[in-house]
Amino acid sequence: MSVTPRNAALADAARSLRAPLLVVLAYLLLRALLAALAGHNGIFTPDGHVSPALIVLTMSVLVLRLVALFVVPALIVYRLIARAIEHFRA
Amino acid sequence: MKRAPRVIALLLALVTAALLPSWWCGRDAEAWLDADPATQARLADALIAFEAEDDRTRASLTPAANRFAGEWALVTHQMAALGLAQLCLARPPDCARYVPTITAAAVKSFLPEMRDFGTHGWSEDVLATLEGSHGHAYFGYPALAVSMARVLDPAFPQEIAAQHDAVIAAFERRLLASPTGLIETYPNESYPTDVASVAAAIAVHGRINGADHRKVIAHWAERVRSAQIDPASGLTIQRMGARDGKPHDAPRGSGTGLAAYFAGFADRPTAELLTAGLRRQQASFLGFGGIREYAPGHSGKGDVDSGPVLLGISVSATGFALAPLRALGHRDDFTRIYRTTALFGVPFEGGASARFLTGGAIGNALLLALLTSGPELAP
Repeated sequence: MSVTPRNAALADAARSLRAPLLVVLAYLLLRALLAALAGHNGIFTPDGHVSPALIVLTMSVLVLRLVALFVVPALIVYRLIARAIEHFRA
Repeated sequence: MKRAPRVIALLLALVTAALLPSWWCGRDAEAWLDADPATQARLADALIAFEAEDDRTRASLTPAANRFAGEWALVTHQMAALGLAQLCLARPPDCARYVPTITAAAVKSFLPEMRDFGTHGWSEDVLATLEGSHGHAYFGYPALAVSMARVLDPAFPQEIAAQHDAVIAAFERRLLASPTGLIETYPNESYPTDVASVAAAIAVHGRINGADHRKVIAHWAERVRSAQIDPASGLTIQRMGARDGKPHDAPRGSGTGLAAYFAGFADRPTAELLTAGLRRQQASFLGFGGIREYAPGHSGKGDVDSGPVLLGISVSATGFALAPLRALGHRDDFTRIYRTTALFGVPFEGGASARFLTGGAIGNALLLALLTSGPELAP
């Protein structure tokens, strides 16, 4: 299979999205894990019992959620637009 | 010229960061505002499942000390009952599905172990001392849940209904005797928010059999305006002396938010007044809204009432504001606050139900009540 400039550009774009998409995947996996482990509890365990592991997991989900919502889309837009403009100018 | 693509890309990235998160987090705001049956039913189902699991745990041989009990449990059962009752009022055909859980949750909120904190505080049980003058205003929370359950369930257990009638009579007598419109939660401590729950319980009791409570509600509402609200900020003072009406704390958003929700059951103008103060505390950033905990000129840390306070914004005040904003039709404010709730609440759909992952049972019960507020409003 020959590597055309267009295919090379697409492969380059896909490579640049790998890291941000891994963040989203990690968020979705940890969120599903939290849903499974927390049951009806959560950060604010109602009967006073606090699970440190659950707090760490919840805080990790929150941090990844903030990154996935505020940083990842902006990073993807930045990388795709910058590459697209450079590609068309070339 | 070489930098131009990067500058354009950076600008578009910033626009994306400014617009996309608020859009994403606010996708369900309209569904909650417009009482979308499917959206409401998914969270309601999670609460029904929680209450059923709690019933199974109580029926088992688990030692009482390990059962879900205490102040937070009381609020969880109370808010589950209120949220489901509001759905029932909004769509009467759904009542048959919700009423058994409403009654079960309300009855559980009346259990002695739920009010241990108040019994210890006074060294007496509220139900054993109804002839006395001690306020026991914390008991307004379960009393309101039972009032709502009795409005909707003609088969509500008679024994508890009789206790509830006696509680309402005691609250009415104590409130009418108070020159400040306050009764104590703990010795020498009164919380206007708790008293608002008492007023709500009394007002909704009048809907059960038409009992006339207008005099006590008018007495309470007049004193909320004259003695419990800080004129400068429009917020209620969080903690006060019941007899002298002296502030023991600052005017705060968390107390005002929950008081505005409770006031809606009893007296709509009072709810509107409290909501106006709450709206003045609003801060927003990139389409996300929050309520500042402390009135201008006051400061403090987070506590059990406010939850964490970050950059002056209180978790509780922000969440509590959802109810009066929805009930009184402040759609734009509601949407901004809802986005923040969804951002940090982490909504999750699993099977036929949905819940907010970080709040647990108490968070989901509160959010069901707050996100469906409106049908319970006093005429």
